[in-house]
Amino acid sequence: MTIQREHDVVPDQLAPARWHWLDTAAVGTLLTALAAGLLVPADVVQGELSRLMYVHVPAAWLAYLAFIVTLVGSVAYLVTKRMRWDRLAASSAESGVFFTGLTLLLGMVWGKPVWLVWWTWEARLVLTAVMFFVYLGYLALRRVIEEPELRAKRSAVFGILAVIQIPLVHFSVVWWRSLHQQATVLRPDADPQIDPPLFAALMMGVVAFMVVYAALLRRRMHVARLEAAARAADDGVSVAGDAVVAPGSTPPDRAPVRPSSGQPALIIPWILLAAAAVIAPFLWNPDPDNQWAWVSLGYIATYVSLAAYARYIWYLSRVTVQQAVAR
Amino acid sequence: MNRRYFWFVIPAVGVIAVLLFAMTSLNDLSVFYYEPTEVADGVVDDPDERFRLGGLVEAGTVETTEAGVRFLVTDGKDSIAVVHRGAPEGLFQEGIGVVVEGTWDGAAFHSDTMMVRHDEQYRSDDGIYQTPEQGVSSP
Repeated sequence: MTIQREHDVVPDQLAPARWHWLDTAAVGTLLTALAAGLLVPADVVQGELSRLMYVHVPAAWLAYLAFIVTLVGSVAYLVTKRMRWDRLAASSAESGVFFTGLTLLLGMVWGKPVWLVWWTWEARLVLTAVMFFVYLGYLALRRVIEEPELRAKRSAVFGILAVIQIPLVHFSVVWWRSLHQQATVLRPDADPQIDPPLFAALMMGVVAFMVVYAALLRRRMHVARLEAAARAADDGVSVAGDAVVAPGSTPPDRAPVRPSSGQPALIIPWILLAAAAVIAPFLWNPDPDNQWAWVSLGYIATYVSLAAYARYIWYLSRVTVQQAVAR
Repeated sequence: MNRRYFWFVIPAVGVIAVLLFAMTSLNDLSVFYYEPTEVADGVVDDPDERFRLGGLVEAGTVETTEAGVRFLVTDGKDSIAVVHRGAPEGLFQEGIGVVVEGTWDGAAFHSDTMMVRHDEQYRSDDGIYQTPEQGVSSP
């Protein structure tokens, strides 16, 4: 049995993370970005549909950012062997999967009225879907390995290798002839093809999503720290100088601590969303000219998904605290 | 087998399904559509082969027909006549990018499926920042 370093196993407090200025900032910037996205002038060709970019593009960029943070956490773990880096990598990858899924969903909501198809098998779309499933595989790997150090090591290798997909996804529209348009802002020629007021709305969306990501990452890492502490206690490792409980002396009525990444809750909303996306064209297919219907659909999907993801993290933290208290 | 391995099923099936679908689509991933110059040069010579053609709708060539619409698709060098079945929808207009799906008989491209290809330009509609090449930038 490995005795873990104290900072790895002692949670700040055995409670869900407290309200933090980041949480306030997340709500504030989101509402500001929502107002900006709905109030700036429409695009001259697309009309109101251009407003969907202010949520689709930030979601895509945050997926990139989250997976880059996973890369950083993975490298830092392999160098330092500190579990906090593993928790950063895991928490960020989960956000990355969320933002990739949101990007795909919002892309479909934009694609139907503009391209006239929900989906087509072109390079950018296919590679983004592959990236979504590969990082879902990263989360699956974390459920399969129970031993924390082994899990951290293998996940780190996965987290480093998988990041190759970011340039592949981003430059797919440059390297191959695709249906998806070229990048408007993050272009090889660094000459944004967007007017100042629209650019401002886009940047407000990006800032809001970054703050939301930071706030959710903080809460998700707090849960991961509680789990590590609960697990260490379960294994009989001393917490904060308590007497070490001999292995095998655990009463049989105590269920072993499962890694919370094993909660089925994460996967269920996504199965439902995927199912909804597949059947949506058969149930609801408004006129492409009814632009505000599509904009509303996109914004509702964004805010409902964000709320569901925040709710999932809150649920995890409550369950983890209850399990720890019961022990 | 440990039932925890169940968690690998969704990602594995997802990746495999996406790649299989991508391979069965009309073209390979690197070329979603052919451009008018390539079609004029005879990149597809079988009149029964379905493929995609992409380019800009040439200004002043859009005509409504009984079955749908006809227009020229251009890449700036060559133009191809497109006979499309079905009413144009959404953002279809002169100067916009389209990708049509159908067959080429050497004189006209007979299409039954149309996608509108929006470019990367985002310009406000108040006219302050509009550039002269608005809406006709190359795809």
